[in-house]
Amino acid sequence: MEPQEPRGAAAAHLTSEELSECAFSPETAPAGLLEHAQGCPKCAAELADLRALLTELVALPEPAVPESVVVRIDAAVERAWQEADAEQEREKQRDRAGATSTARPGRWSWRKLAVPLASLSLIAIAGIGIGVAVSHSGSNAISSAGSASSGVSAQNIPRSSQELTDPTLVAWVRSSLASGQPKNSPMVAQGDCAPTSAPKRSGYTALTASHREFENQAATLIVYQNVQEPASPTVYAVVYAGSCPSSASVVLAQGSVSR
Amino acid sequence: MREAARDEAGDLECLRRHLAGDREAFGELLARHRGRMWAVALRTAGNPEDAADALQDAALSAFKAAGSFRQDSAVGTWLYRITVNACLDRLRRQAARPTVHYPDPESGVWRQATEDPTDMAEQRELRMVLEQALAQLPVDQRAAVVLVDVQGLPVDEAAAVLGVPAGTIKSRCARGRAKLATALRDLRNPAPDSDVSVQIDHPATPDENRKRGAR
Repeated sequence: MEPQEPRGAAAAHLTSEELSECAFSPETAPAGLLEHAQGCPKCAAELADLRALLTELVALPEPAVPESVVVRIDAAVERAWQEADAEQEREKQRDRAGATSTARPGRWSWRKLAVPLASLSLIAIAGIGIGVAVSHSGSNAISSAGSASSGVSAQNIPRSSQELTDPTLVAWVRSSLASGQPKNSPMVAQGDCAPTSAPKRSGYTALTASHREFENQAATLIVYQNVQEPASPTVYAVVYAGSCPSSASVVLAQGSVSR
Repeated sequence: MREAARDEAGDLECLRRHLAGDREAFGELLARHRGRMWAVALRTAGNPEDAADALQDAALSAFKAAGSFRQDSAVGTWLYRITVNACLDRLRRQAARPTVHYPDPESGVWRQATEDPTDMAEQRELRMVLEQALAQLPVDQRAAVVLVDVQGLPVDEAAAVLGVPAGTIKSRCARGRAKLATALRDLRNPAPDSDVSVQIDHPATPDENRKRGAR
């Protein structure tokens, strides 16, 4: 907050903020301020100036976007698509090469993973009308009005989830599964956190949780199993930021993995 | 309200198609908001060149961030936020430069960008003075006034766009408005021996004074 001018004695004039409030938001301005302005020639004049200003500001025409700017923006978007295509191609090649390599991919490719997954979650919404995967801060990601989300903290997992192919992440998932935590057990978080449950995912149950450094920060991997298909060889892995995962945690990566 | 809801649904549909790989969808989304994004960029950056750069930055940022868009704000507000931030980033980078240029009312591109051909000459001059005064406000006041008073965003929404408390927005608007009102008052009632141009927070260059004096 920036400091306000003091207004002490009865004869004091309105501050710039008070004048502004009277001119631009008279419905919320304290009645005493408006009364003062009516009886004070100086404040009344300033109020009139501000009201005239408001009229002029609102009436400022929306400038036309120059054609050169439109062309430039379109070209930039086209280049962005080309870069996305090229990157996707590079990812495919890396995935193929990665099948026989244990090299950890750069942090860049982890970040990119979130976008196609989010996109798939949207396709899932459009196709079968279920909710969406939430990727950040516990807020709903883009979802259709008809989403079945109940508004509770449970988040949905896209039906057509993308398979995780990065060998490091796949290995983490399998190692976590191999640790043999009993199904539906509370997931005890590390560090200073109190014991807590894994973030809920609608229709899924958490199988395991494990903690690791990921993208130079503490992270927690939760492996989920579809409740309807307990015998499915596919599980769903979500890497949450932090050691105390909750439905509000940022999702660093997610996708399906074959056991 | 229904229209706003329809617009929002259309925006979300564009985003959904974009994320599903539809090559046309992002362009359609930009086309829906381009006018307002340009108006905000032009007035926040203070000149068409930086506004164009900032708008390109904003378009690319939105392209990359589309997957993480959250519905805690309208798509339009999200685009405003990206646009304003792109402008502020550019202005911050410029602040490190030894010279700062202000919009030149004599420049063809500025005139073209801000002129309404249907205006009367007097109205045109008033708007030019107002645009110039706006461009000379400190950037935090300018961004607040542009969003709230020119674009008509509620204070809370402008606060979300700029990432500051609503009270700060009110305070910045009040200070900015006071300076703009002074500029308009001076235009209407010029003092015989004073510069009729706008009040600014820091000394104008001789070149700026010369331009103002010439008008």
